[in-house]
Amino acid sequence: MGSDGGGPGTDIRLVSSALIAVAFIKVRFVLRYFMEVRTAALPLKLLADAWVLIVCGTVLALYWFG
Amino acid sequence: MTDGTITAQAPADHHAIPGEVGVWVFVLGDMFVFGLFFSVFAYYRGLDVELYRASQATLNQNYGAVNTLLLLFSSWFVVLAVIDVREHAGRYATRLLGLAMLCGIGFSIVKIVEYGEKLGAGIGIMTNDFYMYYYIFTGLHFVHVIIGLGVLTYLVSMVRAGVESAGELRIFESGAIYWHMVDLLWIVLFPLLYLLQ
Repeated sequence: MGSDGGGPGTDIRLVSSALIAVAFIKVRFVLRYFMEVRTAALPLKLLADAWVLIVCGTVLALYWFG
Repeated sequence: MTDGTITAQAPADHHAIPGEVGVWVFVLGDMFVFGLFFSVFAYYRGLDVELYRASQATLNQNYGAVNTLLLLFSSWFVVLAVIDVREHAGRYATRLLGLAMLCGIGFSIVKIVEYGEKLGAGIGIMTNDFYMYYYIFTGLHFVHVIIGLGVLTYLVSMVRAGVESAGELRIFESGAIYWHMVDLLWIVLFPLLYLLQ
C-alpha cells in the first residue's frame, strides 16, 4: 500500500500505525472498564465506540494519505 | 401457572449511566475537541513530515512514557477507590485516592521538568508548528491534570464525610470518570507527539 513500494519507509509507517492503533485500543479499554461504559446504556456505548473509531480512523487516514 | 415469568429489567436501569449525565456531556465534549486536535495535528504533519520528525527527535520519549505509566496507575487507583466506596464503605479509599494524587503530582513534576528543559534549550511555542501543537496540546492537557488533582482532593473530602446516598455515589463516580478522561487523552497524545515516525 505504501507509495514507496514496501521499502523501509513503509515498515516504519506500519510500526507507527500499530502504535496509534494500540493507543486507541487502550482508550477503548479505559472507556469500557475504568469509565464503566461496558455496563452503561446503549447510546453511551455507541458514542464512545464512535469516538474511538472516527478519531483513530481519521488520524490513521491522514497519516497515510494526508 | 408460570405465565407471569417475564421479569422486568428495572434494576438494570439504575446503572444506565455511570456517574452524572452532566459529567458525560462534559467528558464527551472534551473528547470531541481533543479528537479535532489529534486530527488537525495529523493533517498538518502530513504537509511537512520532515519538520515534524526533526522536531520530535528532540523530545525525550522517556518523559512521555513515564507519564503514561503514572496516569495509568493513577487511574487504576481511582478504579479501586470507587470499588472500595461501593463495597467497603470507603475504608481504603482515602489512601487509594492519595496514591492516585501522588501519581498525578509525579506527572506534573515530570511535565514541568520537561517544559523547563525545552524552554532552557530555547525551544518555545513559536519555534515551529510542531512545537506550537506540542505546547498547546500538552499545556491544555496539563490544565486538565491540575483540575483533576483538585477533583481528587474533593473526592477525598467526600470519603471523609462519608459517601452514603446514591446521589453522593454518582458525584463520586463523576469525579472518577473525569480523571479517567485525563488518562485517556494522554494515552493518545503520547504516541501522536512522541512516537509517530
